[in-house]
Amino acid sequence: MNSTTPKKRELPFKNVLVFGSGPIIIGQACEFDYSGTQACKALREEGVRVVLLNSNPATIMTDPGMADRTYIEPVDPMTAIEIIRRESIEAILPTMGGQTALNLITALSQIPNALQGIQIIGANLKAIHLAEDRRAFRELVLSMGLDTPRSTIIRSVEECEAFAAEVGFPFILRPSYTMGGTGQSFVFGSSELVEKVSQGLAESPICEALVEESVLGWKEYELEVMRDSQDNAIVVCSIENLDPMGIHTGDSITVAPAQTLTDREYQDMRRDALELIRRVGVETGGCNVQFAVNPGTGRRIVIEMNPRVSRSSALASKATGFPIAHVATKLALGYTLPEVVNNVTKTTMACFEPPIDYVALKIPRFHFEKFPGADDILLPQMQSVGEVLSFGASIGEAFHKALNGLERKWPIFKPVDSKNPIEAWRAESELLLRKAHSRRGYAIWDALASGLSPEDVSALTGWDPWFTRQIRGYQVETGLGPRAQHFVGDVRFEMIDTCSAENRAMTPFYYTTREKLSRSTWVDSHLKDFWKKPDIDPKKRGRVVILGSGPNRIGQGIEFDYCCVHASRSLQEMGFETIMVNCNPETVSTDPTSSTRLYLEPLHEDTVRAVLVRELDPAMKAGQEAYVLLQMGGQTPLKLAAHVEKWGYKVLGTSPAAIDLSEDRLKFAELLEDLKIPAPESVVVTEWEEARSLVEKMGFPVLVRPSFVLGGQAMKICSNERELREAYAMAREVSEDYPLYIDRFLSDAVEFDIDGICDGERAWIGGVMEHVEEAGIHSGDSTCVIPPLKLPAAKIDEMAGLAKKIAVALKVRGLFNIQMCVLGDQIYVLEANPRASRTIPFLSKATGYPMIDWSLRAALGENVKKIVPADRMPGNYRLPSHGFAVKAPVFPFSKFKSFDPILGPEMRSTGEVMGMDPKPGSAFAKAYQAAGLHLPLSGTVLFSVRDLDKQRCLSLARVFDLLGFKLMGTPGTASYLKKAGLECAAIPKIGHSALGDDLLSVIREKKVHLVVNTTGAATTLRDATSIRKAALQYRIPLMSTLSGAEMASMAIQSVMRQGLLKPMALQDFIESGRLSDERDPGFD
Amino acid sequence: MNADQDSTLVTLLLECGASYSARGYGDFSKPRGSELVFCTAMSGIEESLTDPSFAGQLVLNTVSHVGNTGYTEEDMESDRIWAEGLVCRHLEKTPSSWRAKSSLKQWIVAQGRYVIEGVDTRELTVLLREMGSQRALVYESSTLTPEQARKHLIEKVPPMAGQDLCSVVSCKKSYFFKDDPKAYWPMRSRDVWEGPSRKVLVWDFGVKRNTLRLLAANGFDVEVYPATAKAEDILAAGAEGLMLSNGPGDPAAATHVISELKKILGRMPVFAICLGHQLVAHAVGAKTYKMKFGHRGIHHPVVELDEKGQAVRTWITSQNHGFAVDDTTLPQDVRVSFVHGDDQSVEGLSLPALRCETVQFHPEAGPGPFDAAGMIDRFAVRMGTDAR
Repeated sequence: MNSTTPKKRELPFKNVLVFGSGPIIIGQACEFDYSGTQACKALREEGVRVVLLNSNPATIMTDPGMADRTYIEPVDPMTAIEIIRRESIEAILPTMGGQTALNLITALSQIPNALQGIQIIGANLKAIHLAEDRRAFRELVLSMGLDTPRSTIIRSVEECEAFAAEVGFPFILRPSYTMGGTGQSFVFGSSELVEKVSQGLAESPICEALVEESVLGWKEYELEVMRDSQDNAIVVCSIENLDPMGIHTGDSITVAPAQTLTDREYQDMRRDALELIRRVGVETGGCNVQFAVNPGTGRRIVIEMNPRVSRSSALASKATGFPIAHVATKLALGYTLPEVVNNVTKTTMACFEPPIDYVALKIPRFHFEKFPGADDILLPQMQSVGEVLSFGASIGEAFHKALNGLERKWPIFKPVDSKNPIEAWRAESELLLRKAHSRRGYAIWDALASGLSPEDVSALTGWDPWFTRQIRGYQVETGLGPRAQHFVGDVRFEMIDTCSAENRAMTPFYYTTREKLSRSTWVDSHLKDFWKKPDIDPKKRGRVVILGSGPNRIGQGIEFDYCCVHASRSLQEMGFETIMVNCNPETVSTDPTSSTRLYLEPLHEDTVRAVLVRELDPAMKAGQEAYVLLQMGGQTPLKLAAHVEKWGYKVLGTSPAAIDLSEDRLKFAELLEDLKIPAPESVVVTEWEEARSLVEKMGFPVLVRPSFVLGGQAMKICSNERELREAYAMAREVSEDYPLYIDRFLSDAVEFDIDGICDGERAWIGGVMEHVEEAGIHSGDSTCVIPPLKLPAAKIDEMAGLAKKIAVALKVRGLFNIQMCVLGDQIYVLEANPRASRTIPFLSKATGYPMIDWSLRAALGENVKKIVPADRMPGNYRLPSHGFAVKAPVFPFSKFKSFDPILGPEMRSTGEVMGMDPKPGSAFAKAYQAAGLHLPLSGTVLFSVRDLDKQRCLSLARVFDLLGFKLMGTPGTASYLKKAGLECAAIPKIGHSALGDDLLSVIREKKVHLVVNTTGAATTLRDATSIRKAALQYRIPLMSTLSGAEMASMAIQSVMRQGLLKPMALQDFIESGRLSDERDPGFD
Repeated sequence: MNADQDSTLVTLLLECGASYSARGYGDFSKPRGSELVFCTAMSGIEESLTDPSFAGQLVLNTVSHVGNTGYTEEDMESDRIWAEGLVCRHLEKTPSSWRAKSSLKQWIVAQGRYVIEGVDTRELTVLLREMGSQRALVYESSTLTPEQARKHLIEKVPPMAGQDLCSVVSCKKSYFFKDDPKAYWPMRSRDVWEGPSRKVLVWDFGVKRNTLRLLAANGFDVEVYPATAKAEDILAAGAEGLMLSNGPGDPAAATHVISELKKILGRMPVFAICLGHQLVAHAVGAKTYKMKFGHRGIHHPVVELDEKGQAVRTWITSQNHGFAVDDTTLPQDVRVSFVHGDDQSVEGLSLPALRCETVQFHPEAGPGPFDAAGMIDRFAVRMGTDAR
């Protein structure tokens, strides 16, 4: 048969442009790095020349080796058009980069001739339009005889009453032609109908409203569908949400396969999904279709469809073992599903529907504590920042594993400790169970474990009672109670094989189960090969278990996955088998092809230990090298360091003791003192009185930081005792039992990130990155530039020298990251981290240095001088001739409306972008543009700065004045600028103008085009907060530091001078990297 | 999970010697023997258990949880459970579905069948995959010693090969199909059909309701004949065509059907599925063989081939068979029209000279996808245009 041996296609094109998804934002995370990476691989397997556009440097897909040409440039039409022209693009694949990529192709299609002669592969423009345009999609659905929520236009209360009589309550009222959903509400009963509807009609300028049947509380399903050019179509995976309709599916706990549908109901849904993909016209690729089902009647309606790979398809790929993005790319090239081989079995075709014999459960990871003031309530809009996937032999097991994979302290719900927990749960049920909040999964577990009945829990949460009964049943079976933070039972490893064991599988992709099930001793003696530990490969040097970084969260995201994946690749090249442990389904690290073996498991001491026993014990017994790699996955693996040592395994690279030394601020301060390296004055306190008196001696401002937190959580800068008291209380809350640190805060110091490699005796500096924002803004939230702009080379050499001294003193083996700042002429060391840092992917791309590979060789004992090629020895951290690279953060502020969008010592950004250019101004301009900050080239700049900043603001205002901008200011700032001879309109503060403009109205009416706002005393705080929120809401670029504003002015000048920014391929950028400076700062 | 008071500690003993203890529900006063097979469908257990093709078999379902939606009655594919019993990992005893009439367990036990749970079904599936489907015995653990059980299994449980089961499950007298309007998929209204009244015969070796529904939906009066029917009666019934149904057992053992079938082929349009397909192969002189563990599931890819043997397209199909047609024994003029996408086994035959088309899979779904339901429509068209 010819059906399973794919013949290479003759492709009608050679140059294919792939769109990435840009920076990580809420709702669009590293799942698109996974899909994009698969797409690039799949295209290159076919001999296609791949050109990639993606502004996100932390991705694997933007590695110079993944594509032939890599443009880390703004994902926007102008950039795309220039690349299309320059690279002679013949086809574009827009379905791998999320909504960003679809929006870009749609925008391009609206520009005359932009896509002339170019083939769109994966999904055609018509299909994209049909799926994206809500009205067109609804019409299509109805024309197919399928159901959508019933809705109608009403113009009177009577008409609405008639509608309510037909569809019942609740329903959604949407007044027509109001801004941003004003007046939109749920009407829950006839008692409130008249009032709400008359009000809604009054709010509509044309006295009209759309009323729509509500599907709140309905069951929610999602099907992952694929179709090829031969019209073969399959459903790869069915996903059922435990949280019913009303919570964004990205924020819902979900399970695969669907559990509470009969075959007939499921097949009807499946048929509708396949018919939809045909009618929408997705001919070669994947998409997902969402449905809602009324739990009481079974009525099924179509919610939406995405004609591209998505977060759910990444999830479905990991849940089933079926690589959707890889296959979708092959289909886009014209292959058919039967021609593509199932990579897991190697013997069967990809045209099938994976039956699975376990339960895969996804639970979202939220980070509300980063946004004080934001309501912890789940909405139809997505707010989670990451997710955990877990596998179990039953849903109870999968749920329990998932809760323990979230890596957060199990919340303490008071009812658990109450004398009558059932009553206590009932009393608090509204708040803990009915309200959908970010920790409800734990609350459901604890409530069930405390004895609240599954039916009660289901009635409160809207979860199908099948789920709550299963979870309760699992608790009874295992004896697990509330706050069950450990696993019980003997561990068994099973395979993710796409086929429920029907065929022998080849892909080494495992999960653990501890369920007690009846097994046969006969199998142990006759068939045990199918469950035995992986054989030792005598040709290999040994095994390394790489611990991943778990679910994405703010402060620990895709950068660390990048490091883990690179580590795996590099260790494999050095002759090791690599074993990956991670539970984040969005990532490249949980692609089974990224390592020798993959365990998709929580980074929990129990599961990690089981993996180490299975993998490293045999290697040690066979005399091979056996290590655990903890350096790459951020804080998550470091927390397991002590355990790993205690269990008797070797940590690869820097020892846990050295890690401890750097993390323990007291010991680290002593070390710096011994080395005679200055650091900001610092004290450790456990009592408020102690804090107050010590700070009195030290003087304000100070920085308060709790122990053992990530991404600067609860860190605060305080300039008076009142602020200190507040910060003290807050820090106590997040780390009750540990001491707090209070450092003297160095206002206006310039901060630096230094990344390097040390072999224990010799250190080498890979790069020195200068922060634009002054010290006090979390390094992850700062814009940074390499090489540094502000300081003379000698000073940078001095910093590099100090960094090397510290690395050697800490006996680092592998990567280190040291943060320093410079105030006046003095260098201070802020902190040292002997592990992979957030800046490693950016630095690797800016310099072309394989930082991870070199660091691992150092960790394994090679001499740094031998690892780093001689011509790279001096490091390029001072003056590379080829250009400048800028990293800029991207924030989720628009998702948390009640939160003040200001930068501080606590990290809040979700992602980053990179801009590269021979000129620094253009590099900044590209980075800002990629971050979605559209800097104006003309118009009005609004200044509102604290007294401290006024002088510096003056020179900045002069620059904008010279560039032809008009100036506006709040009264204080305006009068200061006017006194200095600048023309500046004073704008009254909010509420201080009875008639004309005030601060808010000029922003709202877009009379200003750039806002520069810094905050000082608390009295102006309220206004400042309003300015920032308004700027954010009306999408006006906001600079909340003067240094940021200065860089913006530089970027604006650069664009003005140069006209269009010229995209530059990463390969060219690295190639042009020739050192201009041969001075060697030497080794210590 | 959540063991019930009414469970019995039972042992599942396999021919190869492996044994499993499990919680059993049902009447275990006597040891119960059958052939153990695995099915990978993640839904549709009610349809599977009532599919007569499972007669004589103990069905192992590989999915984690079984019984989630309970028993609906309207999803039954025949009027009773034909499978001997069900093996699963987790059996849910409280159904959750707006259509559920009772739990799966209650229904199975009420039908005189049994279900056992708590078994590592994945281990057992690997065993069946490697060792092949085999005879099994389920008995109350305290009643037999392992030796007694083994003896019982070898001596009293007949192997599937050589068993003629289609006459056991078939209707005993001919009848006209009338659908239950309350069924989840009632046949489409006959009003849709505007042509003259047409009749099709179905030869029942274990037919499923959905096959009959799909024929009726094409505008046919559907008359069902028992497995024991004679060729002359079938030819004289005044039908436009004959459909051979699915069914259980070894096709080679159904010699009485094969000999009648030989008299019919070529004299009227015939469409055959599953066992019917295997019987056609025998009628033209080909052979069937027992597969190692068969195809049972609803995800199976089947490649449709054109006259030149080139792939036309691939269908996701519902399958349930333990025997297959040996393509090396096919006569020259019989064309293989479908093959299995994974193991290339025969999935359909085209015999235009004999006015006959066959498929191994189940176009009628129930359980499983409808993707290939068009095969039945094609048969309807062929009957209309086959003017011989």
